[in-house]
Amino acid sequence: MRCEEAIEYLDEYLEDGLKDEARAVLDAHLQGCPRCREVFAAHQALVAELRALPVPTPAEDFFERAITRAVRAHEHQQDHHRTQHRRMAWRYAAGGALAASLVLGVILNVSPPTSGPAVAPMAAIPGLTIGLHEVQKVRLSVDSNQTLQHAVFTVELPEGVELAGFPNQRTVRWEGSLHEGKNLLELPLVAQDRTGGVLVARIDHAKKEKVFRLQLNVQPERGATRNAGAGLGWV
Amino acid sequence: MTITPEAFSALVRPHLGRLHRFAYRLTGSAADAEDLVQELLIKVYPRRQDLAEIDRPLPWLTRVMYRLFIDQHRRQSRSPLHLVVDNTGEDGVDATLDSLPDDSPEPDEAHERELRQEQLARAVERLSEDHRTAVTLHDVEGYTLEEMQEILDCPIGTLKSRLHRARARLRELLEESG
Repeated sequence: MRCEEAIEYLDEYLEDGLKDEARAVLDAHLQGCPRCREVFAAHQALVAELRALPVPTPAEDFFERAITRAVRAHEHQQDHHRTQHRRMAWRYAAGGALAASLVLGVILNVSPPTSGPAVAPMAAIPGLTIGLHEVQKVRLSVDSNQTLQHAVFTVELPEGVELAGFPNQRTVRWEGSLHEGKNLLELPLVAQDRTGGVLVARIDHAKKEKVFRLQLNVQPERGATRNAGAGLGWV
Repeated sequence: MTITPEAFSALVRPHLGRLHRFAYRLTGSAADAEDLVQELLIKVYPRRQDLAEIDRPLPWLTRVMYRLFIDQHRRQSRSPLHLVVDNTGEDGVDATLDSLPDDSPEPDEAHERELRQEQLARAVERLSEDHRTAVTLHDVEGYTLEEMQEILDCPIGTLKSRLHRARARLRELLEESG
């Protein structure tokens, strides 16, 4: 057996997938070939290190709860013909931030436009000030004159602002439906820095799109200044 | 005969640990890994009848989850595979800072190991996507070539040569980074 052949069978050999005969031939080769022995040993060592790369363990009953949620989501869908719960719906249910029955909507409990250079009323967009590193639930509600299934909701966040639970995502998109009448959407925003900017919420249905813009300004946290050392376990 | 929720649970529960591990390799975040597993369960529960008839559910489930990931997450143009060593403790603080360096000249063994793991993780990230997927599924997560064939829908011969080249490249990268 040549070295090239031996290495061909490296994986099967290590996975115990070789038939006895083939295994015997390979063993014989290894005995007489230090180079191949080294390759096999190096490979095993590398694999052992790779296997040991840590993975965080989920909460104890996470799997059980996830199974239950999957069953419920299906039964819910069957019962009420609603589109399935997407990440947002059940994740919020877990955090208590959004009742599962809330579907999507957009409108505002926001303050009137913030002060600044005078802008013609049509160009002004509503503004909101949020605190740095604090979760601010912004409620958007939209009135729909009919039920719309399969609407696509997109939230485009300004730099430095995230949707709690969606780290490092400037765009969050999901599918949902709008009922006839008033629909409510709650976005838990977290500002990670002072940049701020415009949040854009889009609702797309069939070929139409509705866009809402909200100016977000960030101010320092209202709570007591955090002691930088406190989180590091030093006294 | 329909499969009850309890029967479904019995079918999938034994595999969720491994699925979660692979989900973490794919997404790089604990929260996203949980999301991906949740999405998988939501997707396969309506198909539990099919699932019950499969001899080996794990490769099938892995395949479905992998496709879910590719379809949903690649659109967000993130690097598909992450082997980041997550050192943060629960409060988000880098847990390695909790152990103050001691005065002895020998490096802390645990610290050495962590550095090595980080080096390894970074090297794997630098592999091409095909190479990374192959190494992650086979060497990191221990799936067999046969299982990989089912998960990736790719002939074993191709997978073998991919693995071979991936490992060679990985060794090169490790040597480079000292």
